[in-house]
Amino acid sequence: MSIRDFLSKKRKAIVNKSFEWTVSTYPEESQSFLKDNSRQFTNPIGYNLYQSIEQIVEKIINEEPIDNFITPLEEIIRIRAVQDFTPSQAVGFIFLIKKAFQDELEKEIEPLKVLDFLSRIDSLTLIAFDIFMKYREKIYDLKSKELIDRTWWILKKWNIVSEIPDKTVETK
Amino acid sequence: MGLPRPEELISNVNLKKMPSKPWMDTLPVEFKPGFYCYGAKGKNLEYVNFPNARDFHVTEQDWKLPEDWKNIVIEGIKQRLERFRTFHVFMDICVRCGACADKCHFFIGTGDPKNMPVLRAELLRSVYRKYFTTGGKLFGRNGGARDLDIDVLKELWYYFYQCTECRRCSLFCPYGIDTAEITIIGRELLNLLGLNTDWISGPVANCYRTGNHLGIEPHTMKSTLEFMCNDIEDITGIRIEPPINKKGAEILFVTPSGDLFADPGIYNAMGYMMLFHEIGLDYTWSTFASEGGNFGFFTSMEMAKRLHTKIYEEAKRLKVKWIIGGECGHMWRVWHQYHNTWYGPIDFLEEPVSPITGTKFENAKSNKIVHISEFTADLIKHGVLKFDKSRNDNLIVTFHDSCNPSRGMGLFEEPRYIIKNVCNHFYEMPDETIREQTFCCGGGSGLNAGEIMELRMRGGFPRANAVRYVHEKFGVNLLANICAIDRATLPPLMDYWVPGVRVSGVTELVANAMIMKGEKERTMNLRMEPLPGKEEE
Repeated sequence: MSIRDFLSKKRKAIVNKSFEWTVSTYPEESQSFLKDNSRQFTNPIGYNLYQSIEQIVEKIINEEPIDNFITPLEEIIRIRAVQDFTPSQAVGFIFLIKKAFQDELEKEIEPLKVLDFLSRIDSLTLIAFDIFMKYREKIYDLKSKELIDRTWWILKKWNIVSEIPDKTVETK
Repeated sequence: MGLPRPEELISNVNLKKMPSKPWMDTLPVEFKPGFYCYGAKGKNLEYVNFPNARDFHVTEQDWKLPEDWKNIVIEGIKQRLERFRTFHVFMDICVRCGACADKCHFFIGTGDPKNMPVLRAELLRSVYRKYFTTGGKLFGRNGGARDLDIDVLKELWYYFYQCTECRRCSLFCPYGIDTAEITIIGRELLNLLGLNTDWISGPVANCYRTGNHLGIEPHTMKSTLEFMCNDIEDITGIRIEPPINKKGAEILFVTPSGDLFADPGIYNAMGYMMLFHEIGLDYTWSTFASEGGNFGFFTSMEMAKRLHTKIYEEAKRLKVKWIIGGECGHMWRVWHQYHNTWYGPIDFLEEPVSPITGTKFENAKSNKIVHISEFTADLIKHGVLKFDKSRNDNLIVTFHDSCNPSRGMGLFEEPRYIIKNVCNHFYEMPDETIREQTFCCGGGSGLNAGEIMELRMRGGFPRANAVRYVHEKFGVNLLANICAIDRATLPPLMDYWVPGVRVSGVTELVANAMIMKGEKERTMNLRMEPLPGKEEE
């Protein structure tokens, strides 16, 4: 049986395990709340984690190109980028997904094939790091933008700075 | 091999951080950048006679507390138990059913158990039990009680400044415990030791001196309003002379100072002036009562009253008949829930009656202040205003119920009625995220400081998540609201979670659509962007 055929039968188990392990990176007292993934608006972390992990697992099984992973990875990482995690914890859930795959694959697939398959999941970690940095940089952008929005208007109004008026563009 | 497996590394780190032990044993809290506000400056505390005025640095080990700080807090709790029946009841009656636990936006966005309202309150309750209940004195920890020590104090500080006092949790409490009131008292106690934040204490001192949080002095306020009128003239061809400190005007208009200086609040301020000009309202701005908001409310009842007095006194000095309040959040909480307790019903003003429509605002019989949305909705209902809704056709709008006007005073319909009358495209967010169940913007009660951007982003996540739903489903690109803090905090929140959604006040939308008598053909909106269909001109 090919890896793909084998995994497509194990999809649900891998998704659930990956999700539960990812939730287990949150404080113990909150895990039962976060595990309820059905409430889109009143439990957005649980809901979005589950939806995105499901997509990631699906795409791994379907052997989709790496670009297709960016959206679901972003969903998860931009949440974890503002939560109480170190950078490695924020992106490390990829290894939990990998472990969920490994647990299933080891049962039936020969080791060399398993190794090759799993090493491909590692590349998601590299992408995850890029995404994490993108959102951390976004936070600092927002901080500086907020400061500019609060002050630039005043500088212009008091003629402390004088920009080229918009109208000159129209004279072209 | 010596190296751990990645999954071990991740789970190990977390097991160390949140081990299987009782919450009381999880001290001390770690102050991480992005999750705590900067401490207060001594000069600002001193200016309003707050105790223990000194520069307070949160991450320094020594918080420079007075020697008898513990007694000050315990005595402070005692005084408040005697003074506020609610506080006493709230300390005793919680059965820890957990109904509030998953209702807090900070808990939902962080998963930090101490952000559950029940546990946040328990931080203080445990201290209360230790010093004020027989059970707590006898059984100590087994009775849910704990000593007040420096680590406990720091924990109280950390979590009471991670609550926006939005009161969503109180909606779900079967006993009606208002956890926001516990935060309010908690902050009062911390304030007894000078443990305030820079973002709150600075505006409080400014407001006490100049009348508004930003420290805008009278001449600057006047020039600012005139600058806005220059823009209004460019856009509409109509020259407005804003009435300022006009004695004997019929109405005093008070709005948060954010509307005078911060984008996008300034467009709302332009909108107020255009609306009042159009209907020929006899009103006045005040350079003394130049702030609707009240950051004093986030420090102590006394300070809140001291700041609120300026509006009350200014109404008296200018001899107005009644007051219109602009789009603000906690200003309305103060007026609606505290004003009468502080002063009793106002006896020198008249019951508000709209001079344009004759409507009696009976709901404002006691306080004599009418919300701009109530006032505007009444004008629209009577057909006083004419609109060209198509000017807002580029906007697909949803409405964020600001916590204080919605949950605090039940103002749900008026802003929606206005928006539907001035915009063609309006969509509601899901039911469990609007009206009385609305999610906080994540920056209320003095938590809109720049240094806690991460905290704001995760606290605002439930709100942003609901906006994203309507953004994806209906193409919503504008988040309207009636609160100055919202107008300050929601733009970065949208930028992070739902890029492509902008933020505006409701009156800005009114002024864009309103056809003014004698106006020139409009090509720009108040932001000086081309109106729909005028892009090429």
